[in-house]
Amino acid sequence: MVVLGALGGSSLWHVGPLPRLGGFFDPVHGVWTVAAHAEFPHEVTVAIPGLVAPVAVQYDDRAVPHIFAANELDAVRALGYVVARDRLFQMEVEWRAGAGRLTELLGRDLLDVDRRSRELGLADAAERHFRDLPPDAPMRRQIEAFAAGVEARIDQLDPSDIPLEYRLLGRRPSPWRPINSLYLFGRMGWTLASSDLEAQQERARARVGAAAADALYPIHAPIQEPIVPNGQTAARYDRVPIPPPAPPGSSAAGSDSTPVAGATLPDPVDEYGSNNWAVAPSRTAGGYALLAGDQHLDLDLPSIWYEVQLVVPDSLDVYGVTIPGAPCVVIGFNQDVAWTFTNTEADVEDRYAETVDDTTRPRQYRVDGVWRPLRLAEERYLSPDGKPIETDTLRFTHRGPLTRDESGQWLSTRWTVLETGSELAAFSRAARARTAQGWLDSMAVYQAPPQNMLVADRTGMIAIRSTGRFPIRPVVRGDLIQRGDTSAADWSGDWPLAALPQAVDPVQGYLASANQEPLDPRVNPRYLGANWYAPWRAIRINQLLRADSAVTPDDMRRFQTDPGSPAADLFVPAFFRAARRYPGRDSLQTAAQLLAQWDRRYTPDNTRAVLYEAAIRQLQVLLWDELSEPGNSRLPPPVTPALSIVAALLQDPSNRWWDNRATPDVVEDRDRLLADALVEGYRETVRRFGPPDGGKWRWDRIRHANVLHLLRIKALSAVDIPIQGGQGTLNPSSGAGTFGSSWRMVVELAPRIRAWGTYPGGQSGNPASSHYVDRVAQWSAGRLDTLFVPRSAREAGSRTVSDLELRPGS
Amino acid sequence: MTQRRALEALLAALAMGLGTWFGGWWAVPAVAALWQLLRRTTPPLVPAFGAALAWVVLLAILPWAPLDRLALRLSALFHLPPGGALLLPLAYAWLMAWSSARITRAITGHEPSATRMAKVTTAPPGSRTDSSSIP
Repeated sequence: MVVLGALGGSSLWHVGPLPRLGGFFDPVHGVWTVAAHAEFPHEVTVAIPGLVAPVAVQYDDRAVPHIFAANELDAVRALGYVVARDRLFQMEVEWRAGAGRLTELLGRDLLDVDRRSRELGLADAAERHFRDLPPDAPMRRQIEAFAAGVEARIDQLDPSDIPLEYRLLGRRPSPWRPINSLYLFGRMGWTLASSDLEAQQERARARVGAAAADALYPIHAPIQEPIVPNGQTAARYDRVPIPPPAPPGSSAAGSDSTPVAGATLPDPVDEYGSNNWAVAPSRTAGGYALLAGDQHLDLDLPSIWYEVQLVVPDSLDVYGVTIPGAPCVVIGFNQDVAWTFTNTEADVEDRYAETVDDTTRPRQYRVDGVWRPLRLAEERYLSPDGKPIETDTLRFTHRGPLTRDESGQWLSTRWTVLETGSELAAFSRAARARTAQGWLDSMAVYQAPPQNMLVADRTGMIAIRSTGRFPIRPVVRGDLIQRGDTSAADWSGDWPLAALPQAVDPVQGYLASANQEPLDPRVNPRYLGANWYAPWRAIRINQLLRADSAVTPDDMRRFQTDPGSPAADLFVPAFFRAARRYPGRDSLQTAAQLLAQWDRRYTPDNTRAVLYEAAIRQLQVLLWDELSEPGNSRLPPPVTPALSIVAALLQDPSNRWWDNRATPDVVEDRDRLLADALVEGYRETVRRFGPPDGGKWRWDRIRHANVLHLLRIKALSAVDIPIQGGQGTLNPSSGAGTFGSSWRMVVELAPRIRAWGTYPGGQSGNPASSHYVDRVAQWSAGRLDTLFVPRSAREAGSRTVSDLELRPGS
Repeated sequence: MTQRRALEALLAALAMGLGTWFGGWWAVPAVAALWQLLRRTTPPLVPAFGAALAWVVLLAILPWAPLDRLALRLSALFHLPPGGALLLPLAYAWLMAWSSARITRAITGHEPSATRMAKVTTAPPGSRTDSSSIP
């Protein structure tokens, strides 16, 4: 009785996090049927409402669908269908993340994530944008066609087609609405163009004073290798003064408040980013322009990208990757033009301290001496069974969402991501461009998140433009909180297109970007952002391209995982110099000898990069001790300053920043602190990995990429993947290894375009499919697949593994 | 197990397989109960074997390579050795059918309930017990 009761109960109802066991284990209708359709059948025909003409979808042996349609809206409908066929659960998670509605799928645990998303105004912005789209706007028709394709797939779902994750959660797929594509883009904007420069400045100023904070989080990078070529033949290391930290307690902020200790600083941000570069025909072995792109994003399973080709005769022939949920190819190439992006990291988000009528529940805010009503929105968060979990009131000023910051002040946010408009339409138009210039013209309306858009065409033109909406501010810089009580603080316009950072066919014969400051401030000092990523990747790719005047596609591939480190080239000699000053310290000499055995390359089999990494980490801990001391600040510590700031300090050996406050009887200088850091790094490495030649110092035993499932379920993830690269290399990896190269692509703009690419995952979101993680091994090894780009359905037939015919139907 | 019991188990497997195919998991306890109701002397182990056999066959007709990959992932998810997850539905079916048959047997009077068992165990020496109720 007890056994049957327990089994029956758990079969009919959820017990804790478990699904209903009966339906779950059922071999005909349960979880095992995920295996039944894990591989697509050789041939299948389905009817899709709204199609004007039949569409042929041919999957090649890499599970890439090649879609041949008679018109563009049919192609987009088919795209919706095929992406949903492979990635339905991922699509739902992503739109819900943008809409702040994850709790409805995943439960109360996601409440804070949803709250943050809604507080930022992402859902509100997407809903307003969708409401304002005229019914006949091309973009509206496009997202509606895409939604129709997704809905057709959901409507036709056989029980055995329900993705595994839904079964684990005991849920069913939700309907797909056209607005979901807009939620998704809002989410991308959050990932790529959300900054907290103002908060970092506040935190740093509270601890070390304004002058030092400005130097540690500067508006111009101290090492210049800009995107727009400035005529240099090597990176320029500017001598920038770094004022000493203000004495503890001297800062204004929070002196009467309870201090908050911050024993460790948050990681610096310069471990993330993307690379792209293009080489003009004059510097390639084949005499054709070459383009490479490599987006460094969250390493997720399924991948953030989905590879696809869309062909409409005499209109469109585009190959590349889309984001599941977007009705277009985002990065890729057509028969004439190839393009790719890196994130500009520009500051397009400002915060304003508002004067409100009530410090707990404001209803009005004051501007120019006049009280204005806040726009209020009631938000309800629901559980998976539709019951309310929580309610919030969102408040909006004319600038954007109003929230309370960590010090209790009310801040409104103006953010270009909340005012976007034509991005999807721009992608669709650009996919039809016949020249690089035509492509740039199509993307001129693109607003956010700002991207360094690199393009090359078959005529040999290469160009780059940091494209997006860059606000014109009434103040010099945007990394400080602005006054909200005056309209004079509001943006007065946007940078004109001609003023955006851009370069076309430069004399140097190549273009490269890696999230570095786009413009050399000596050429144009205008504020575009602050606390720029350390330019190590930019330096390295420039080194490689300057040294090679006959670049091949395989060189481009090789460069993407190049293990060289300009940061190590700078810091390792500095450690040696420091070690020479203290010949009597045995552990220091041992550490220096070990470091000397390293070729400064993050190859998988090297056994010394681990020591360097530990020493650099220790150096930052010892150097930035003033930032992690609580002092009188009630704010948390700021992020660790970029390593390029440490590089700038190397030129100032007696700067007071080098002094370690933990040793009051000693005043350290540069070399003393470097020596201490190397010794500490050595001790830490031995403590964690044993003796130097015990075999545990090998890089591939230490540094791994971890491609995590969206639900962070380890069993559905690909973890502990060895990787060639480290912090600041072209194939960066640091921290938990959950960030990295997400789509590597190389394109040769020959008379008939050739292309190669891969990403860490596979086309299918089904863990039972042979295409779930089939690309991970080659991604780890730095290899690329040759992309099959047929011009017609007949040509595609030679490599077709599965045929899907979509027919008009009801 | 005698040949007759084996045949019974096969028939039960067929019924449960068809029931699962056209109905769902609930066919397993339902068929087991019905089986026990119709064949009161059949030990509950017979429908239990039948259920496990039915589900083995239903699993076996799935494509092997994807099933293997899925079993690996689910085994890791449930912290079982590789392939161990494949035993879970079999154990579930076995237990479901066995417990259903057992309860049916108790309800229909062919299985001593706790009370009856207590009476049997406290009966005076020499009194007669119903040996058919003991599987």
